[in-house]
Amino acid sequence: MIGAWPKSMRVEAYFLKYAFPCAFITLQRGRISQAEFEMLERAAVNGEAVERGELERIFAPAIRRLKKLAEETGFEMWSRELVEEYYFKNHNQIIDEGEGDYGKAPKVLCELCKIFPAVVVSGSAGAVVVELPGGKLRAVNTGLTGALKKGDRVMVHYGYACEKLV
Amino acid sequence: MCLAVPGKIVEKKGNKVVVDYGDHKVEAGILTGEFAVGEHVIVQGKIVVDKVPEEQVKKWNEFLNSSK
Repeated sequence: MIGAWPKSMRVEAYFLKYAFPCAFITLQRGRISQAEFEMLERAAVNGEAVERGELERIFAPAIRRLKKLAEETGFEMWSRELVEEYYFKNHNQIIDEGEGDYGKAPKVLCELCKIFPAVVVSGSAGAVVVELPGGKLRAVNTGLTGALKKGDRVMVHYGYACEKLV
Repeated sequence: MCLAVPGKIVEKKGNKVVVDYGDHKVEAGILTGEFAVGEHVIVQGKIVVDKVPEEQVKKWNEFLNSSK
């Protein structure tokens, strides 16, 4: 399973492709402003990097876990390897272990928060239906990946496809 | 923590719904799944992503209000 975003993509931009679906929720929960959300959305859609300081402030829980994972694995902080290790493996384990709010949240929300590989089963402009491991269907936005077609394999986080798989 | 706030479907016309969050409402589209007026759902980027069982909504909203 290899992601399609080129290795030349700035690691801050790669991180944002996966972290952006959370921004929707930090906005919903009043932790970032509408203007900050729109800045993040623009950057995430266009694959542009956002300053590390901004990402560290807005996505503080993810950054804290990335730092811990960097110590455990020896991968450098702000390296592609570390971000992949986090979002492809570590992130779902943390949710399953019930860290922090995850232990108190409805299971359906924890499952939405996890990142899964999925297959596109039907498409329309801007959003597609994907089949998740286990067979459940979910509608996801394609703003972060660009247009997707039936049969494409993608990584999904909440209501977004984050990366095409090759 | 990227754990969302559910909203309640208050209107449904074909594949379009209006979801109420108390202080504001949003319009969203259904691409897959069955959703009915009165059910609580998670909406992202103007699409309905999943529903949250009723008994879990109350408990979660209480937690969110206590952690504000």
